[in-house]
Amino acid sequence: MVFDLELDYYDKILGGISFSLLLGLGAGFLTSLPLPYGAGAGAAVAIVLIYHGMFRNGPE
Amino acid sequence: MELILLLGVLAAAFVGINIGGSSTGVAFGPSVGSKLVSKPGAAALMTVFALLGGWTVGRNVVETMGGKIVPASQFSLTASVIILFFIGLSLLISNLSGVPASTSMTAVGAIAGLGLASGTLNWQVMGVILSWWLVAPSVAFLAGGLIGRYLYVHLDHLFRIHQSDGKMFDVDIRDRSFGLGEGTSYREVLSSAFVLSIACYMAFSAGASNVANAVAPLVGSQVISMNIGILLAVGAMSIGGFTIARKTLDTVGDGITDLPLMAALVVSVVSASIITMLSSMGIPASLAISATMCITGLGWGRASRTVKASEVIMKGEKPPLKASALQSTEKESIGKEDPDSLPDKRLFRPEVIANVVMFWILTPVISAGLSLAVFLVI
Repeated sequence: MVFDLELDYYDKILGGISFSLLLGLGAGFLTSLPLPYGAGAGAAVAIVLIYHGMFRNGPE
Repeated sequence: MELILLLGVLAAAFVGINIGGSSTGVAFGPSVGSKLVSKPGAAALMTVFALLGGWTVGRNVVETMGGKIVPASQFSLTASVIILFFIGLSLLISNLSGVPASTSMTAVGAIAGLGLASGTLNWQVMGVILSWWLVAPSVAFLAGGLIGRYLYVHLDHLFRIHQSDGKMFDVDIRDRSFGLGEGTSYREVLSSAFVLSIACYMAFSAGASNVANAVAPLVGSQVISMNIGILLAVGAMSIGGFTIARKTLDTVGDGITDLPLMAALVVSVVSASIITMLSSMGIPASLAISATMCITGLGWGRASRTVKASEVIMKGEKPPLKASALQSTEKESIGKEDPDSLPDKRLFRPEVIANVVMFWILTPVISAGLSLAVFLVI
């Protein structure tokens, strides 16, 4: 069976939030950037995406 | 001197009692609602697990708030009482207005005001705390959103919590016999134990994050020791659990207690984990905010989802990561949310969230501003 992976807007929003948080945490753990600032920067991007998914294109 | 100390202890107790009242409601609302534990039983469990959380993890937060944001030397007894007064005031306003306040954010705001007024604020520590304040709600929303969108319906079917009537256990002391009550299944015992242990985990994290809000300024001013402070805070929380919580456990409309049991469990596990982790790092963070953002994410994720009939047929297989608009005839498929089981027919109410978030951003800013003004005058 061919797995039909069709991502819609909300999948992309959740993917984007996960990616930015992981990237921030990863940068904090793996580079010389202090962990809280890496994670905080990732979260700032995540919050923009959350805002977009909730208030710009909220479900229903 | 003695009078101010008495005032300080009273202020700390006031804060602790209020926190205990609200967090017992949040942690044990689902368990009391499904009659797994009585109200005094919930308060007793709250006391034990908040003490565990405060004693082990919570002292890290007391250290941060009582001596790292501003040096401990800044906490004169008077300053401590003023800061506790601000924390108590915000709790009072939150109780009256019904908006879940962030006690931790107000407390940090008030301490930062003291630091600004005396020029001793440690900006690096503040930066770290503010960073985690962005991370915690984002992670809570993400976890809620992922579970709400992809897993919730499956969890709800997999993990139905059955409850039979009558007593769960049949205990006879004379015969020394012990067995399951009539109609009780082992599955019911297991799931009840599961629900109750999640509530205890929530109580643990509430203790870990909140002990500092009640006593960190007093511990910082060194009028009481760390251990006495933790005992004082948990003692006050316990009083709140046995008194105020009787009411908070009754009033439905308290966020978590509104939710279907499964959703309440998801929210409890996610927010308790976030708060326990941050507290162990010494970061003051609010259980109410993480829980509310997780509830928001869960509602958002469930509202964003529409289930296709094909997903029901594909039992055991991975559900397709796909949601598309449904024909009206497909809407009756298994896996669709039952609208009657929800307190509000809409899973997701952005206008309410916008207000609550605005309130969260404003409270620490206002408390920092007021505290700065007061400490500049003194």
